[in-house]
Amino acid sequence: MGLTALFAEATVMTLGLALSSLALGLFMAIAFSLAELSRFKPLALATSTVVAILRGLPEILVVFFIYFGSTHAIFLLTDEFIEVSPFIAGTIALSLIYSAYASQTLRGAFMAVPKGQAEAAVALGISRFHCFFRIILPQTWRHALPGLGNQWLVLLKDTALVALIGVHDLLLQAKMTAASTYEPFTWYGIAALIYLAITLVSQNILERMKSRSNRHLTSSHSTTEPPVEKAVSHSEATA
Amino acid sequence: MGIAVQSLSKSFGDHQVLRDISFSINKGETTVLLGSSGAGKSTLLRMLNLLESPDQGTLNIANMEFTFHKGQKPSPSSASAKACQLRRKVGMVFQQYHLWPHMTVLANLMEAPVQQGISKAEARDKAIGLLERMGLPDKANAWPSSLSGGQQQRVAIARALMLSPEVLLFDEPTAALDPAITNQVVEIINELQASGITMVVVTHEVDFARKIASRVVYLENGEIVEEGTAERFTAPQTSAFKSYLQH
Repeated sequence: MGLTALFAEATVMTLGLALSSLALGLFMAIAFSLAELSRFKPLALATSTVVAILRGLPEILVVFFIYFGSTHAIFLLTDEFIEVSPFIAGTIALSLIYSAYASQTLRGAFMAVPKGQAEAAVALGISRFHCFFRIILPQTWRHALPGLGNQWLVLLKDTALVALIGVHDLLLQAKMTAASTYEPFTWYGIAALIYLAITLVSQNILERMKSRSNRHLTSSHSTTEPPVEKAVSHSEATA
Repeated sequence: MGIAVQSLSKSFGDHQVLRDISFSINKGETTVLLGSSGAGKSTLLRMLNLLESPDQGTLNIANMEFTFHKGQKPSPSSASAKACQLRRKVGMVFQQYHLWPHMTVLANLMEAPVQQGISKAEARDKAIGLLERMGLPDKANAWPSSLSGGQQQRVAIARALMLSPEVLLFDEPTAALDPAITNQVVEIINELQASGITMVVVTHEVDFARKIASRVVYLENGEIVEEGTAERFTAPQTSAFKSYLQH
Protein backbone atom coordinates (compact mmCIF):
# COMPACT_ATOMS: atom_id res chain seq x y z
CA MET A 1 0.00 0.00 0.00
CA GLY A 2 1.30 3.45 -0.83
CA LEU A 3 2.16 5.87 1.91
CA THR A 4 -0.64 8.22 0.86
CA ALA A 5 -3.22 5.48 1.40
CA LEU A 6 -1.65 4.56 4.75
CA PHE A 7 -1.77 8.16 5.93
CA ALA A 8 -5.32 8.55 4.69
CA GLU A 9 -6.34 5.46 6.61
CA ALA A 10 -4.58 6.69 9.76
CA THR A 11 -6.31 10.08 9.43
CA VAL A 12 -9.67 8.35 9.18
CA MET A 13 -8.78 6.36 12.30
CA THR A 14 -7.87 9.54 14.21
CA LEU A 15 -11.07 11.25 13.07
CA GLY A 16 -13.18 8.18 13.84
CA LEU A 17 -11.70 7.95 17.31
CA ALA A 18 -12.21 11.65 17.95
CA LEU A 19 -15.78 11.76 16.64
CA SER A 20 -16.95 8.63 18.45
CA SER A 21 -15.36 9.92 21.67
CA LEU A 22 -17.13 13.24 21.10
CA ALA A 23 -20.52 11.59 20.63
CA LEU A 24 -20.16 9.32 23.66
CA GLY A 25 -18.47 12.08 25.66
CA LEU A 26 -21.23 14.63 25.01
CA PHE A 27 -23.86 12.12 26.02
CA MET A 28 -22.00 11.35 29.24
CA ALA A 29 -21.32 15.05 29.84
CA ILE A 30 -25.06 15.82 29.76
CA ALA A 31 -25.69 12.93 32.15
CA PHE A 32 -22.88 14.05 34.49
CA SER A 33 -23.97 17.69 34.51
CA LEU A 34 -27.61 16.79 35.22
CA ALA A 35 -26.51 14.36 37.95
CA GLU A 36 -24.39 17.08 39.53
CA LEU A 37 -27.35 19.47 39.46
CA SER A 38 -29.67 16.79 40.85
CA ARG A 39 -31.56 17.53 44.04
CA PHE A 40 -30.77 13.96 45.14
CA LYS A 41 -27.59 14.80 47.05
CA PRO A 42 -25.86 11.36 47.09
CA LEU A 43 -26.02 11.23 43.28
CA ALA A 44 -24.70 14.78 42.95
CA LEU A 45 -21.87 14.01 45.37
CA ALA A 46 -20.92 10.72 43.67
CA THR A 47 -20.81 12.40 40.27
CA SER A 48 -18.74 15.31 41.54
CA THR A 49 -16.26 12.78 42.96
CA VAL A 50 -15.96 10.89 39.67
CA VAL A 51 -15.49 14.17 37.77
CA ALA A 52 -12.89 15.37 40.28
CA ILE A 53 -10.93 12.12 39.91
CA LEU A 54 -11.05 12.22 36.11
CA ARG A 55 -9.91 15.82 36.04
CA GLY A 56 -7.17 15.10 38.54
CA LEU A 57 -5.48 12.29 36.63
CA PRO A 58 -3.06 12.60 33.70
CA GLU A 59 -4.87 11.71 30.44
CA ILE A 60 -2.33 9.03 29.55
CA LEU A 61 -2.93 7.32 32.89
CA VAL A 62 -6.68 7.15 32.19
CA VAL A 63 -5.95 5.63 28.77
CA PHE A 64 -3.60 2.99 30.25
CA PHE A 65 -5.92 2.31 33.14
CA ILE A 66 -8.90 1.67 30.87
CA TYR A 67 -6.95 -0.44 28.37
CA PHE A 68 -4.65 -2.55 30.59
CA GLY A 69 -6.74 -2.14 33.72
CA SER A 70 -9.97 -3.40 32.15
CA THR A 71 -8.29 -6.55 30.81
CA HIS A 72 -6.83 -7.19 34.24
CA ALA A 73 -10.15 -6.50 35.96
CA ILE A 74 -12.00 -8.89 33.66
CA PHE A 75 -9.33 -11.50 34.37
CA LEU A 76 -9.71 -11.05 38.12
CA LEU A 77 -13.48 -11.27 37.93
CA THR A 78 -13.97 -14.10 35.44
CA ASP A 79 -10.58 -15.85 35.33
CA GLU A 80 -10.62 -15.39 31.57
CA PHE A 81 -8.19 -13.40 29.53
CA ILE A 82 -10.26 -11.18 27.26
CA GLU A 83 -8.46 -8.46 25.38
CA VAL A 84 -10.39 -5.23 24.98
CA SER A 85 -9.88 -3.71 21.53
CA PRO A 86 -7.53 -0.70 21.70
CA PHE A 87 -10.01 1.37 19.68
CA ILE A 88 -12.86 0.73 22.13
CA ALA A 89 -10.66 1.24 25.17
CA GLY A 90 -9.30 4.44 23.61
CA THR A 91 -12.80 5.73 22.83
CA ILE A 92 -13.99 5.04 26.37
CA ALA A 93 -10.94 6.68 27.93
CA LEU A 94 -11.10 9.77 25.70
CA SER A 95 -14.85 10.19 26.11
CA LEU A 96 -14.49 9.93 29.90
CA ILE A 97 -11.85 12.65 29.86
CA TYR A 98 -13.91 14.81 27.50
CA SER A 99 -17.10 14.36 29.52
CA ALA A 100 -15.38 15.30 32.80
CA TYR A 101 -14.40 18.69 31.43
CA ALA A 102 -17.46 19.22 29.22
CA SER A 103 -19.83 18.45 32.10
CA GLN A 104 -18.49 21.50 33.94
CA THR A 105 -19.07 23.71 30.89
CA LEU A 106 -22.58 22.31 30.52
CA ARG A 107 -23.39 22.70 34.21
CA GLY A 108 -22.56 26.39 34.00
CA ALA A 109 -24.59 26.69 30.82
CA PHE A 110 -27.64 25.01 32.36
CA MET A 111 -27.48 27.44 35.26
CA ALA A 112 -27.24 30.37 32.84
CA VAL A 113 -30.71 29.62 31.41
CA PRO A 114 -33.19 31.70 33.45
CA LYS A 115 -35.66 29.73 35.59
CA GLY A 116 -38.56 31.57 33.98
CA GLN A 117 -37.89 29.78 30.70
CA ALA A 118 -38.86 26.40 32.13
CA GLU A 119 -41.63 27.98 34.19
CA ALA A 120 -43.26 29.41 31.07
CA ALA A 121 -43.24 25.93 29.53
CA VAL A 122 -44.66 24.30 32.67
CA ALA A 123 -47.39 26.96 32.83
CA LEU A 124 -48.44 26.00 29.29
CA GLY A 125 -48.80 22.33 30.28
CA ILE A 126 -45.67 21.27 28.38
CA SER A 127 -44.16 18.07 29.80
CA ARG A 128 -40.83 18.17 31.68
CA PHE A 129 -39.21 15.90 29.11
CA HIS A 130 -40.32 18.01 26.17
CA CYS A 131 -39.36 21.21 27.98
CA PHE A 132 -35.82 19.91 28.57
CA PHE A 133 -35.17 19.01 24.94
CA ARG A 134 -37.00 21.88 23.24
CA ILE A 135 -36.63 24.83 25.61
CA ILE A 136 -33.67 24.28 27.95
CA LEU A 137 -31.13 22.28 25.94
CA PRO A 138 -31.11 24.55 22.85
CA GLN A 139 -30.45 27.56 25.09
CA THR A 140 -27.79 25.68 27.04
CA TRP A 141 -26.14 24.92 23.73
CA ARG A 142 -25.53 28.58 22.97
CA HIS A 143 -23.81 29.16 26.31
CA ALA A 144 -21.83 25.91 26.17
CA LEU A 145 -20.70 25.92 22.54
CA PRO A 146 -17.50 28.01 22.93
CA GLY A 147 -16.29 25.85 25.84
CA LEU A 148 -17.29 22.56 24.22
CA GLY A 149 -15.55 23.63 21.01
CA ASN A 150 -12.33 24.27 22.91
CA GLN A 151 -12.55 20.88 24.57
CA TRP A 152 -13.16 19.27 21.19
CA LEU A 153 -9.81 20.64 19.96
CA VAL A 154 -8.13 19.23 23.08
CA LEU A 155 -9.85 15.89 22.52
CA LEU A 156 -8.72 15.80 18.91
CA LYS A 157 -5.09 16.12 19.97
CA ASP A 158 -5.50 13.71 22.89
CA THR A 159 -6.28 10.99 20.33
CA ALA A 160 -2.51 10.86 19.76
CA LEU A 161 -2.22 9.29 23.22
CA VAL A 162 -3.92 6.11 22.06
CA ALA A 163 -1.05 5.43 19.66
CA LEU A 164 0.65 4.21 22.84
CA ILE A 165 -1.87 1.39 23.28
CA GLY A 166 -1.52 0.37 19.65
CA VAL A 167 -4.36 2.15 17.85
CA HIS A 168 -3.16 2.71 14.33
CA ASP A 169 -3.75 6.43 14.24
CA LEU A 170 -2.01 9.33 12.58
CA LEU A 171 0.77 9.60 15.16
CA LEU A 172 1.58 5.87 15.08
CA GLN A 173 1.64 5.95 11.29
CA ALA A 174 4.02 8.94 11.29
CA LYS A 175 6.25 7.23 13.83
CA MET A 176 6.42 4.00 11.83
CA THR A 177 7.08 5.76 8.54
CA ALA A 178 9.69 7.99 10.15
CA ALA A 179 11.46 4.95 11.55
CA SER A 180 11.45 2.98 8.32
CA THR A 181 12.49 5.83 6.02
CA TYR A 182 14.84 7.62 8.45
CA GLU A 183 13.01 10.86 7.53
CA PRO A 184 11.38 11.92 10.83
CA PHE A 185 11.27 15.63 9.93
CA THR A 186 9.22 14.97 6.80
CA TRP A 187 6.78 12.46 8.26
CA TYR A 188 6.16 14.06 11.64
CA GLY A 189 5.81 17.33 9.71
CA ILE A 190 3.17 15.79 7.46
CA ALA A 191 1.28 14.41 10.47
CA ALA A 192 1.45 17.86 12.06
CA LEU A 193 -0.01 19.47 8.93
CA ILE A 194 -2.87 16.97 8.89
CA TYR A 195 -3.69 17.64 12.57
CA LEU A 196 -3.54 21.36 11.84
CA ALA A 197 -5.83 21.02 8.82
CA ILE A 198 -8.40 19.13 10.91
CA THR A 199 -8.34 21.75 13.68
CA LEU A 200 -8.65 24.61 11.18
CA VAL A 201 -11.68 22.98 9.56
CA SER A 202 -13.12 22.33 13.04
CA GLN A 203 -12.68 25.93 14.03
CA ASN A 204 -14.43 27.07 10.88
CA ILE A 205 -17.37 24.75 11.53
CA LEU A 206 -17.50 25.86 15.18
CA GLU A 207 -17.59 29.51 14.12
CA ARG A 208 -20.59 28.80 11.90
CA MET A 209 -22.34 26.89 14.65
CA LYS A 210 -21.71 29.78 17.04
CA SER A 211 -23.15 32.37 14.71
CA ARG A 212 -26.14 30.10 14.06
CA SER A 213 -26.71 29.68 17.79
CA ASN A 214 -26.59 33.47 18.17
CA ARG A 215 -28.74 34.31 15.17
CA HIS A 216 -31.74 35.20 17.34
CA LEU A 217 -29.66 37.99 18.89
CA THR A 218 -28.03 39.38 15.79
CA SER A 219 -30.89 39.53 13.30
CA SER A 220 -34.45 40.66 13.69
CA HIS A 221 -36.20 38.02 11.59
CA SER A 222 -35.68 34.35 10.92
CA THR A 223 -34.39 33.82 7.42
CA THR A 224 -34.66 30.03 7.46
CA GLU A 225 -38.43 29.93 7.69
CA PRO A 226 -40.61 30.96 4.79
CA PRO A 227 -42.39 34.29 5.27
CA VAL A 228 -45.91 34.09 6.57
CA GLU A 229 -48.39 34.69 3.82
CA LYS A 230 -50.83 37.50 4.33
CA ALA A 231 -54.52 36.71 4.19
CA VAL A 232 -54.72 38.29 0.75
CA SER A 233 -51.80 37.46 -1.50
CA HIS A 234 -50.36 40.08 -3.85
CA SER A 235 -51.45 38.28 -7.01
CA GLU A 236 -55.05 38.22 -5.82
CA ALA A 237 -54.90 41.82 -4.71
CA THR A 238 -53.62 43.11 -8.04
CA ALA A 239 -55.65 40.78 -10.25
CA MET B 1 -68.49 28.70 38.37
CA GLY B 2 -65.03 30.03 37.60
CA ILE B 3 -62.67 29.81 40.54
CA ALA B 4 -63.25 28.98 44.20
CA VAL B 5 -60.51 28.93 46.75
CA GLN B 6 -60.98 27.75 50.31
CA SER B 7 -58.70 28.27 53.30
CA LEU B 8 -55.47 28.25 51.33
CA SER B 9 -52.30 28.62 53.37
CA LYS B 10 -48.68 28.68 52.37
CA SER B 11 -45.41 29.09 54.22
CA PHE B 12 -41.87 29.37 52.97
CA GLY B 13 -39.86 28.07 55.91
CA ASP B 14 -40.96 30.02 58.99
CA HIS B 15 -42.48 32.81 56.97
CA GLN B 16 -46.20 32.45 56.39
CA VAL B 17 -46.97 34.04 53.02
CA LEU B 18 -50.69 33.27 52.85
CA ARG B 19 -53.11 32.71 55.74
CA ASP B 20 -56.46 31.05 55.33
CA ILE B 21 -57.39 32.63 51.99
CA SER B 22 -60.93 32.04 50.69
CA PHE B 23 -62.68 33.71 47.80
CA SER B 24 -64.63 32.88 44.68
CA ILE B 25 -64.70 34.37 41.23
CA ASN B 26 -67.51 34.02 38.74
CA LYS B 27 -66.94 32.94 35.20
CA GLY B 28 -66.13 35.81 32.85
CA GLU B 29 -65.05 38.24 35.54
CA THR B 30 -61.80 40.15 35.66
CA THR B 31 -60.49 40.10 39.19
CA VAL B 32 -57.57 42.20 40.31
CA LEU B 33 -55.39 41.04 43.19
CA LEU B 34 -54.08 44.26 44.63
CA GLY B 35 -51.57 44.88 47.37
CA SER B 36 -48.07 46.10 48.07
CA SER B 37 -44.96 43.98 47.48
CA GLY B 38 -44.77 41.00 49.78
CA ALA B 39 -48.52 40.86 50.39
CA GLY B 40 -48.60 37.36 48.89
CA LYS B 41 -50.58 38.23 45.77
CA SER B 42 -48.10 36.72 43.29
CA THR B 43 -47.83 33.53 45.34
CA LEU B 44 -51.62 33.30 45.39
CA LEU B 45 -51.79 33.75 41.62
CA ARG B 46 -49.10 31.14 41.04
CA MET B 47 -51.11 28.70 43.13
CA LEU B 48 -54.06 29.04 40.77
CA ASN B 49 -51.81 27.44 38.14
CA LEU B 50 -50.11 25.13 40.69
CA LEU B 51 -46.72 26.69 40.01
CA GLU B 52 -46.70 26.82 43.82
CA SER B 53 -48.54 24.20 45.79
CA PRO B 54 -50.47 25.29 48.87
CA ASP B 55 -49.68 23.73 52.25
CA GLN B 56 -53.38 23.24 52.83
CA GLY B 57 -56.74 24.23 51.45
CA THR B 58 -58.98 23.51 48.49
CA LEU B 59 -58.75 24.88 44.99
CA ASN B 60 -61.58 24.68 42.46
CA ILE B 61 -60.68 25.99 39.06
CA ALA B 62 -61.88 25.26 35.51
CA ASN B 63 -64.05 22.40 36.85
CA MET B 64 -61.12 20.65 38.52
CA GLU B 65 -60.66 20.24 42.26
CA PHE B 66 -57.39 20.04 44.18
CA THR B 67 -57.23 19.44 47.93
CA PHE B 68 -54.12 19.91 50.01
CA HIS B 69 -53.57 18.74 53.57
CA LYS B 70 -50.90 19.90 55.93
CA GLY B 71 -47.86 17.63 56.13
CA GLN B 72 -49.13 15.43 53.33
CA LYS B 73 -47.59 15.77 49.92
CA PRO B 74 -49.69 14.70 46.95
CA SER B 75 -48.04 11.86 45.04
CA PRO B 76 -45.91 13.66 42.45
CA SER B 77 -46.79 11.73 39.29
CA SER B 78 -50.57 11.85 39.60
CA ALA B 79 -50.45 15.40 40.87
CA SER B 80 -48.29 16.54 38.00
CA ALA B 81 -50.43 14.80 35.36
CA LYS B 82 -53.52 16.46 36.79
CA ALA B 83 -51.62 19.71 37.17
CA CYS B 84 -50.64 19.46 33.50
CA GLN B 85 -54.33 19.09 32.61
CA LEU B 86 -55.14 22.14 34.68
CA ARG B 87 -52.46 24.26 33.07
CA ARG B 88 -53.86 23.60 29.62
CA LYS B 89 -57.09 25.26 30.79
CA VAL B 90 -55.47 27.99 32.88
CA GLY B 91 -53.02 30.21 31.00
CA MET B 92 -50.41 32.45 32.55
CA VAL B 93 -48.73 35.67 31.47
CA PHE B 94 -45.56 36.67 33.34
CA GLN B 95 -44.13 40.04 34.25
CA GLN B 96 -40.89 39.27 32.39
CA TYR B 97 -42.80 37.66 29.46
CA HIS B 98 -40.46 34.60 29.44
CA LEU B 99 -40.66 34.21 25.68
CA TRP B 100 -38.28 31.53 24.43
CA PRO B 101 -35.51 33.57 22.78
CA HIS B 102 -34.22 30.83 20.48
CA MET B 103 -37.59 30.45 18.76
CA THR B 104 -39.37 32.85 16.44
CA VAL B 105 -42.60 34.47 17.60
CA LEU B 106 -44.58 31.95 15.55
CA ALA B 107 -42.64 29.00 17.01
CA ASN B 108 -43.20 30.36 20.53
CA LEU B 109 -46.94 30.33 19.88
CA MET B 110 -47.04 26.92 18.22
CA GLU B 111 -44.87 25.01 20.70
CA ALA B 112 -47.41 24.05 23.37
CA PRO B 113 -50.40 23.24 21.12
CA VAL B 114 -48.29 21.17 18.70
CA GLN B 115 -46.76 19.21 21.59
CA GLN B 116 -50.29 18.59 22.83
CA GLY B 117 -51.39 17.06 19.55
CA ILE B 118 -52.86 19.88 17.48
CA SER B 119 -51.74 19.77 13.85
CA LYS B 120 -49.06 22.23 12.77
CA ALA B 121 -51.27 23.79 10.11
CA GLU B 122 -54.08 24.38 12.58
CA ALA B 123 -51.72 25.81 15.21
CA ARG B 124 -50.15 28.05 12.60
CA ASP B 125 -53.50 29.44 11.44
CA LYS B 126 -54.53 30.07 15.01
CA ALA B 127 -51.19 31.74 15.81
CA ILE B 128 -51.43 34.06 12.83
CA GLY B 129 -55.00 34.94 13.78
CA LEU B 130 -53.97 35.76 17.35
CA LEU B 131 -51.00 37.83 16.24
CA GLU B 132 -53.34 39.84 14.07
CA ARG B 133 -55.69 40.31 17.02
CA MET B 134 -52.73 41.51 19.11
CA GLY B 135 -51.76 43.99 16.38
CA LEU B 136 -48.57 42.14 15.45
CA PRO B 137 -49.38 40.53 12.10
CA ASP B 138 -45.92 41.19 10.64
CA LYS B 139 -43.96 39.79 13.58
CA ALA B 140 -44.54 36.06 13.02
CA ASN B 141 -40.98 35.36 11.91
CA ALA B 142 -39.33 37.89 14.20
CA TRP B 143 -37.06 36.86 17.07
CA PRO B 144 -38.37 37.91 20.49
CA SER B 145 -35.19 39.91 21.20
CA SER B 146 -36.00 42.25 18.30
CA LEU B 147 -39.36 43.25 19.82
CA SER B 148 -40.10 46.04 22.29
CA GLY B 149 -41.31 45.20 25.79
CA GLY B 150 -44.93 45.92 24.91
CA GLN B 151 -44.73 43.77 21.80
CA GLN B 152 -43.14 40.92 23.76
CA GLN B 153 -45.92 41.12 26.33
CA ARG B 154 -48.54 40.91 23.58
CA VAL B 155 -46.78 37.87 22.12
CA ALA B 156 -46.79 36.32 25.60
CA ILE B 157 -50.55 36.95 25.85
CA ALA B 158 -51.06 35.40 22.41
CA ARG B 159 -48.98 32.40 23.46
CA ALA B 160 -51.18 31.88 26.52
CA LEU B 161 -54.32 32.22 24.35
CA MET B 162 -53.14 29.51 21.92
CA LEU B 163 -54.56 26.81 24.21
CA SER B 164 -57.95 28.61 24.41
CA PRO B 165 -57.78 28.72 28.21
CA GLU B 166 -60.90 29.14 30.33
CA VAL B 167 -58.91 31.23 32.79
CA LEU B 168 -56.03 33.59 32.11
CA LEU B 169 -53.68 34.68 34.91
CA PHE B 170 -51.52 37.80 34.67
CA ASP B 171 -48.59 38.32 37.04
CA GLU B 172 -47.76 42.05 37.12
CA PRO B 173 -48.20 42.31 33.34
CA THR B 174 -47.38 46.00 33.17
CA ALA B 175 -44.65 46.34 35.79
CA ALA B 176 -41.95 46.50 33.12
CA LEU B 177 -43.89 48.69 30.68
CA ASP B 178 -44.25 52.45 30.35
CA PRO B 179 -47.68 54.09 30.82
CA ALA B 180 -48.49 54.44 27.10
CA ILE B 181 -47.81 50.76 26.52
CA THR B 182 -49.74 49.85 29.66
CA ASN B 183 -52.84 51.22 27.93
CA GLN B 184 -52.38 48.74 25.12
CA VAL B 185 -52.47 45.94 27.70
CA VAL B 186 -55.59 47.51 29.21
CA GLU B 187 -57.27 47.46 25.80
CA ILE B 188 -56.33 43.83 25.25
CA ILE B 189 -57.59 42.76 28.69
CA ASN B 190 -60.87 44.60 28.16
CA GLU B 191 -61.25 43.00 24.73
CA LEU B 192 -60.60 39.58 26.23
CA GLN B 193 -63.17 40.25 28.93
CA ALA B 194 -65.74 40.98 26.25
CA SER B 195 -64.98 37.56 24.79
CA GLY B 196 -65.97 35.94 28.11
CA ILE B 197 -62.68 34.66 29.45
CA THR B 198 -62.14 34.65 33.23
CA MET B 199 -59.08 36.66 34.22
CA VAL B 200 -57.11 37.18 37.41
CA VAL B 201 -54.58 40.00 37.34
CA VAL B 202 -51.95 40.69 39.97
CA THR B 203 -50.80 44.31 40.10
CA HIS B 204 -49.77 47.01 42.50
CA GLU B 205 -50.77 49.82 40.13
CA VAL B 206 -54.08 51.27 41.21
CA ASP B 207 -54.75 53.14 37.94
CA PHE B 208 -54.21 50.01 35.89
CA ALA B 209 -56.42 48.03 38.30
CA ARG B 210 -59.28 50.56 38.01
CA LYS B 211 -59.27 50.34 34.24
CA ILE B 212 -59.67 46.57 34.03
CA ALA B 213 -61.28 45.25 37.20
CA SER B 214 -64.81 43.98 37.59
CA ARG B 215 -63.83 42.63 41.03
CA VAL B 216 -61.04 43.49 43.39
CA VAL B 217 -59.31 41.54 46.15
CA TYR B 218 -57.01 43.58 48.36
CA LEU B 219 -54.32 41.68 50.29
CA GLU B 220 -52.05 42.71 53.12
CA ASN B 221 -49.51 40.43 54.84
CA GLY B 222 -50.94 37.27 53.33
CA GLU B 223 -54.54 37.98 54.27
CA ILE B 224 -57.54 39.32 52.38
CA VAL B 225 -58.38 42.71 53.83
CA GLU B 226 -61.14 43.68 51.45
CA GLU B 227 -62.88 42.20 48.46
CA GLY B 228 -65.83 43.19 46.35
CA THR B 229 -66.95 44.60 43.02
CA ALA B 230 -65.14 47.37 41.18
CA GLU B 231 -67.28 49.89 43.10
CA ARG B 232 -64.92 49.36 46.02
CA PHE B 233 -62.45 51.58 44.18
CA THR B 234 -64.75 54.57 44.76
CA ALA B 235 -66.23 53.35 48.04
CA PRO B 236 -63.64 51.36 49.98
CA GLN B 237 -65.00 49.71 53.15
CA THR B 238 -61.77 49.43 55.10
CA SER B 239 -59.32 52.13 56.06
CA ALA B 240 -56.39 49.96 54.90
CA PHE B 241 -57.71 49.74 51.34
CA LYS B 242 -58.73 53.37 51.40
CA SER B 243 -55.21 54.45 52.30
CA TYR B 244 -53.72 52.10 49.68
CA LEU B 245 -55.89 53.72 46.98
CA GLN B 246 -54.61 57.15 47.95
CA HIS B 247 -50.95 56.28 47.31
